[in-house]
Amino acid sequence: MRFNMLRAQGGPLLLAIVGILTISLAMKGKLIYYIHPRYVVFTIILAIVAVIISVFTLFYRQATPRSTYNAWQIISGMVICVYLVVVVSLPPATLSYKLAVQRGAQEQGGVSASAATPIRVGRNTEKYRLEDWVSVLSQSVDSRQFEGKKAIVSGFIVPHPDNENAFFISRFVMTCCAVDARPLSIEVNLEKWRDQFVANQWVEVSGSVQPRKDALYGANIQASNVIAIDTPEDPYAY
Amino acid sequence: MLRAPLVKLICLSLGVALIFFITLSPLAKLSVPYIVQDFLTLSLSVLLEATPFVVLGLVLATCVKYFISDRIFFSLMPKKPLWRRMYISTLGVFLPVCECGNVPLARGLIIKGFKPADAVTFLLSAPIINPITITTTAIAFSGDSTIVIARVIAGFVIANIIGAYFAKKKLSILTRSFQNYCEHEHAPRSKGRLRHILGDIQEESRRMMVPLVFGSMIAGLTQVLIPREVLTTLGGHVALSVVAMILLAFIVSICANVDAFFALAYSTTFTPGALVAFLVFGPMIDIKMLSLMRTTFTKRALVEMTLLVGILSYITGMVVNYAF
Repeated sequence: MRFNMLRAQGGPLLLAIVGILTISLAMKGKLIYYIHPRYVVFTIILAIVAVIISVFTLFYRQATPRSTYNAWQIISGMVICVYLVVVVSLPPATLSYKLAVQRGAQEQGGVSASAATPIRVGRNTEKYRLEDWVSVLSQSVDSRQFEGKKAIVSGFIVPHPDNENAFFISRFVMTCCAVDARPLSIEVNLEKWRDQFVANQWVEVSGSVQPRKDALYGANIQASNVIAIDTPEDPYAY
Repeated sequence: MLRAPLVKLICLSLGVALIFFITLSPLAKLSVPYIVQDFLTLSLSVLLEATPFVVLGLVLATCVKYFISDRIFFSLMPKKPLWRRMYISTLGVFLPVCECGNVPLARGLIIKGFKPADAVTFLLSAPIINPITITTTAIAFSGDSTIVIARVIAGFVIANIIGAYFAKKKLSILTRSFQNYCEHEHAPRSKGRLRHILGDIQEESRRMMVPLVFGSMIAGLTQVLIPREVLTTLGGHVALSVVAMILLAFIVSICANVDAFFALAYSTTFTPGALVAFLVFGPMIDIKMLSLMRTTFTKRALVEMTLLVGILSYITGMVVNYAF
């Protein structure tokens, strides 16, 4: 009887847990690891409403317990409990390089232009972010116009499948939430990079743009300086 | 109305434990495999994006049910069946309830005098043609208005076709038990209204959140476990992609208010037609809806409904794939 009453309150409990989790992530500044920044305010407001409604329902409603429950309901309840415990116990995380590889971060041609973004800056290439370079290089007919231009970009490392002295510097671009994120990448030439860095590590690369010799389009960055950085507060491109 | 002390204590304890876990992240130093980390990030993103719309749906549905008179909707009802069904198709705009909540609403409409075929039209169209579903679809597919428009038009057309089909049937499509059963869906007077409101919230939130959590987990799992080549091969096939997404819609049983965020996970690997078919079929027919509709409609009626919706959704998907 008591289990039935607790189970009958599963909906408000779930709402409360997700609401508190949302507010907690927002307070830590990690909500944008999961959803696009333009939905943050709306999400937080509704999370607060969810918690209020749930608490009210939990403490002031006399639940009508169901008389029976089956094995499937017990199993599904346990699965949800385990999932939620794991989710709230582990720290927030961005998507990894493994998923980036699975989604095509190691495209041939040196530039992964699965989501070309409009250029937001002018002629000063040092201010171009990774997504700006991907956009520029994917839309350019002749990448030789950028030969020698200085590039300073940050992203996480995705190993090159064929070249030990190169890697792809990547970021995910998000439209709505992390589930639709796609990787943007540029190939970086750096000899023996594995002596200093590891896959999935966030780095800032300074170097000059070099057109690819084996293709008409696309370019690499010849790295002159690469430093490790912490995961930025805004790890995605939009 | 106060809760049993033991349940209150359990809930309080859960709340404290939750806050403890969130604040301290006790497993922060644990080395988690990338596949697990990505699964959690992906599934949680769907859950966090969709839950606000669940809450919005709950609030709106409660307001409509308990504070707005149904005379407002019925006073404009046309007499001719074709126009009446088309009007009924748009009632979801004023009754933005999850499809599960539409079943008791449809039962109440039949009691008030709706023909069963008209109630079927309402049941099939209301989950799609309502402001929350349209908004979430537009948000999820902000770069592709074709999907939003195709979803709304297909939902409207399919609901009317199936309503017209059942209107022609001589045999009753209602179960005998429901025909004998008289249920009044009146909003109670002020005394006791709060109890009913909280009861509705309790029931609706359970119906929506449980499939949503499972749907989020499935979205995350398919993204990390299924190789990209399989997804792109299946998803890129003009016909197979549509069939696969219709089956997925049936199994995952996610609410129409938020299924667009689930479908978004497949937007880069499946054809637009497959996504539209998912977004049209899922709100009308899934495991959860069939079990709820069984309280009202005969088995034969449900089988016919499922087949018709499936065929028409498939045709919709193919039209989108070839035409756009």
